[in-house]
Amino acid sequence: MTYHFESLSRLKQLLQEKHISSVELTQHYLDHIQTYNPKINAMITICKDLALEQAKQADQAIAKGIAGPLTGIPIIHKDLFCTHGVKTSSASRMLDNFVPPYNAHIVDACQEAGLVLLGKANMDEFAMGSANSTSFYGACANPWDINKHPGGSSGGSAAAIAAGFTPLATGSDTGGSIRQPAAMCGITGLKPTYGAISRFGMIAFASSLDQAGPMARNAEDCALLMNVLAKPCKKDSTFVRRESEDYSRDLSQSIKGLKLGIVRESFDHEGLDSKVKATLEKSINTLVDLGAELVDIKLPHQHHSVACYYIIAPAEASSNLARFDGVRYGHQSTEAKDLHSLYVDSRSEGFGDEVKRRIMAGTYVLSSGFYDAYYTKAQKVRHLIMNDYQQAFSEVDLIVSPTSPTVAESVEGANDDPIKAYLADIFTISTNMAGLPGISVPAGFAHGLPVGLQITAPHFKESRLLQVAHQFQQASNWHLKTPDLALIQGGDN
Amino acid sequence: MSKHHDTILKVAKLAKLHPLENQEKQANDFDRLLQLFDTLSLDDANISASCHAIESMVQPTREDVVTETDQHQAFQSIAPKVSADVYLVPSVITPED
Repeated sequence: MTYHFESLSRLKQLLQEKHISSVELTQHYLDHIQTYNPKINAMITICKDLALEQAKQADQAIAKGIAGPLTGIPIIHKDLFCTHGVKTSSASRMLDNFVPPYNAHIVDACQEAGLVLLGKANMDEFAMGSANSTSFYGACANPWDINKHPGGSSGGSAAAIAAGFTPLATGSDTGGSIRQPAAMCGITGLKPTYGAISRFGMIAFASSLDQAGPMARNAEDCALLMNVLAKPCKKDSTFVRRESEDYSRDLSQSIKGLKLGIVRESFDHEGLDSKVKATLEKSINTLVDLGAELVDIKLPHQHHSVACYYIIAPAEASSNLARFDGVRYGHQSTEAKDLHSLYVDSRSEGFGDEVKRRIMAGTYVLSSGFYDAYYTKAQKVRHLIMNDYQQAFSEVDLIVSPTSPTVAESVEGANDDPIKAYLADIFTISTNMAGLPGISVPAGFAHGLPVGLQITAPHFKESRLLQVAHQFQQASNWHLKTPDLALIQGGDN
Repeated sequence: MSKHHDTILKVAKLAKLHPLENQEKQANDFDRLLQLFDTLSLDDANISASCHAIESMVQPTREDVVTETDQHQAFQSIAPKVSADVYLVPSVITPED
């Protein structure tokens, strides 16, 4: 029997009723990864021994009757979450030799929940990219068509779920890095409210925007993982202390009467592929059929969000990545003659081109004489974007939009035109600027590849997002579609 | 040559990086990026700047007591070069100086 495309609820049942052990399930996924990963390259590190040891402990917990809801279920972490004793590279040569002496908060939370760590997922270097094409470990392929990219930066996490390497994965989202690869790989990805999940132990890109979140086959599975990830943390001062919440609570509630805001300009955007648009319109009709009401809204400053983001995020990145100097950890150049060349050579050898491009853009906008013209200006526009959402959510419960203007594109040439790639982030970035939660759900296919529908909610309304996504998935079957692995050279299904 | 060729060299020095191998393309991409930034041409005189998405966030406080243990050996075990509990770097003052 194959388990790699089973839902989490089915896997839980199989484990709890002892039809399969966690060790057997883990070995099944490890074998599946070994067969298909050489062509997909979704994994940077595979933790075979650790996974089997954790699975053994999970089986003992199940046998003793002390298992939690996710005990014994495999998971893959994006390779920017620190894992004690397991390499954490952020897909960079700079951290190719970095083995953290501690766990990220969410890694600890997953361990305590009994989840089994299969390995670490490929990603864009330091989460900078939207095609998983800037990784030091090579590009990741899309399981739906290995000549296409899986999106990014959490491309490895999304591809791993789509290819059946794992039922669950973690990702991070600074400008769409959970939602966009989820859309392109036909899975479900939730970017929670800024501050809803601890960032402790997550390698920083842009600290005011970065947010960890769950990725899975469907909204129900995302909710179960969200229950684990949102565990309170004292080590992240930006974690927002709130009463604990059961994110599965509202899944079965009807969405009848919910007001869905729609920005018509988004659907008339010149970059939006016409087949993607048609697919999304059908999916929105499904939500209307379920009883939701469509309301036209305006987000007047959304078109500024790309420029605003590509000032603020690189500025924060240039500051965050200043710590990588070749002295305390990470890559150290062997060519350095003095302290200055140690810094410059180590950083120039350790970082890839896209990371250097963004560090330099950030250094420029923060430099004397340009700070107010760019950085302060962008922060003011960010304020306007936040106000737009506040106004919109006084009229509607949620906002629906495309996740990405196109389906996954060719791996070849993905890094040739950085500005074109930045502009494709138009539908996801403003959510991060305002710190809002957003989810991408499989909504159909265009050009033979998955399309994602994005739904955005007010701060800390993840349960409402998951409810709508789940109800949509009860009325559609796009989340059940799986790629034909027999088409991937190197293995059969 | 791109008008931003010298800018790239100056910023690279500030960022402690060498410019990219294809400096001409880097300068052209940089020029296009600045053009994108310049689309933020709106009157912002009476707008406050937001540096954070959750503006009502209350920073937590803790007791002013030491909670961390000494883990310098664990931290230095992953350092490129260490001797006698200190990180090693090349000499700042060379014999020629």
